[in-house]
Amino acid sequence: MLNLLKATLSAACLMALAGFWGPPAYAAGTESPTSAPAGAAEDPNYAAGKQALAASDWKAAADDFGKAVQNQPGNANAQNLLAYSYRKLGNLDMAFRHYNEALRLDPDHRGAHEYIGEAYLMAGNLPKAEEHLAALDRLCMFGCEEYRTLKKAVADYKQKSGAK
Amino acid sequence: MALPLRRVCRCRFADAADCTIRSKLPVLLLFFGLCIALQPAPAGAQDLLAFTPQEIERILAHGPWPQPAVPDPSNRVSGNAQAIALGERLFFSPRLSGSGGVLCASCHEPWRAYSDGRNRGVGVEPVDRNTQSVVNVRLNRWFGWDGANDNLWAQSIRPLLARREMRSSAAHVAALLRGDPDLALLYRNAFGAPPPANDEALLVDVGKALAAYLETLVSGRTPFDDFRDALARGDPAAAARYPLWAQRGLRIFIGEGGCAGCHAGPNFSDAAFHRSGIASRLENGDADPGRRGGIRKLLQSRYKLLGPFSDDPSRAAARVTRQASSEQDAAGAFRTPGLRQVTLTAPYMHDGSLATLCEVLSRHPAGDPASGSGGTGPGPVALTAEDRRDLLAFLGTLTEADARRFAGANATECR
Repeated sequence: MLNLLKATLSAACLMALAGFWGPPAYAAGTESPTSAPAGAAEDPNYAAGKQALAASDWKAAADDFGKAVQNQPGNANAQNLLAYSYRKLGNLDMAFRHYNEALRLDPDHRGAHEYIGEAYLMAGNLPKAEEHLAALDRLCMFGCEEYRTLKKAVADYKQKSGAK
Repeated sequence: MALPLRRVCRCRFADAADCTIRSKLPVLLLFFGLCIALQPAPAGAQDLLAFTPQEIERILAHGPWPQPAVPDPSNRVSGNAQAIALGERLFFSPRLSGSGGVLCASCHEPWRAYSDGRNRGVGVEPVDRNTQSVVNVRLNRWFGWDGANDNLWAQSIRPLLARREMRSSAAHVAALLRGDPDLALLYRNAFGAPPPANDEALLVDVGKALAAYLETLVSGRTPFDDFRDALARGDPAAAARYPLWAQRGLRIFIGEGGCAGCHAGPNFSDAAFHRSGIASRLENGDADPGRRGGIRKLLQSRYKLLGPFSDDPSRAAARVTRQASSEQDAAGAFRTPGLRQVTLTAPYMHDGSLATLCEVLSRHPAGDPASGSGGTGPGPVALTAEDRRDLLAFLGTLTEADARRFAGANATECR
């Protein structure tokens, strides 16, 4: 019991310290600040991929993020954005592969949970989308943009499909 | 003025030593002190229990890890890198399913140790049993809770065709492989020829590519493996780094608990079938027949090792299939699951009815440590609260260190 109390308080301390001096929050929905390999400089292909995404050039983004994950296969952010690019290209096979890899690397990756939920809606699998919505609900104690976005997508899907 | 804390936190303070920070220093110093005082003691040399030679022999039988990769003779693309690439692509493809929305990874989710966290799996519809992890599946001799398949490629075909899982068909799968240029190319690379005209032959090859991929899913080394190998090379200093609680739990596991009778070998499974004492019902209300039903399905299957699609002309591996019909005590028995990564694969048992490992330890039937048999014992193991705590500590060390942070808090605690 004492150990449990110590562990809880220690975790609270570390979380508080991380919040006090931690890195700035990233834009919601794409990147997780803890999901890039520790100490890794941003891969130039990753930066190029983000520029391609901003220009809605999905093919170029997929190429760039593909190179980024070759250089940094443990980068969950790059895996997530590669998956996103594939989803925008309509290639759900590759999108699911890389969303799953992003989540394998970081099961708490909020952006990946949101996006894979949206991919499941594209594939017509509402229960799986709702599973990822539930995961976001657990992860976002005080709400977050990823949760709100996927919740709206689920609601829209239900309205269009007549599902309950 | 140089502040003592700057030596500890140089990077943080170097650019921020302004009056705002300084005004917070008394509070921060108190906070730091509290945090340091509350840190768990660092891992270091601990005690080593005096394991007997017999106990050490039993412990060594749970390794080494990982086990060498042995190609499956019934699958001509087992170990083939191109087939693995095709199998991986198919594993994440929703288009294999009849509904277009269910992929293999919907139930075997990589971020949940390739299981799904549900009591019972859900494909197109809910199914009757808990989803088993496919990590280390290459070490199985039988597949599925009931062993309805005797090889991994047949087991990979099964959910594709199951009405409540992926609800696909040979014709649907074959049309996808032939009609998609990328998949057709991957197929040609893997099998050395374009997709065949025969739908069923192509379905079987898809199963074999999926199996080639699944064979690559192997869990990493664990704290237990380090302990086991330290014992093997006679290195007590290294062995003593294994937590005492886990050592005590291991002693119960291989001894009075009788656990190792069924959870045997490097993958902590004897690959056999036992009654767990937990009965469940199928969709139609009938009692789940377990292995008895599995044998019936196996003997009817066109995809068993004795069937026309095995690539092993010697049929040597089919010896166990020939013996299956003579198995005793098959009714209500289920295959012993391996225990590696077990803290990540809750809920437990064939029907997912036990939410935590603590519940498993409270409800699971005892084995017989004297005979080495297990699973059909007289009733729940008589474990004290301390025994359960130690066993849970041991089971926690069967999960890769890097992945243990993903385990739910209740996976290794009794509350």
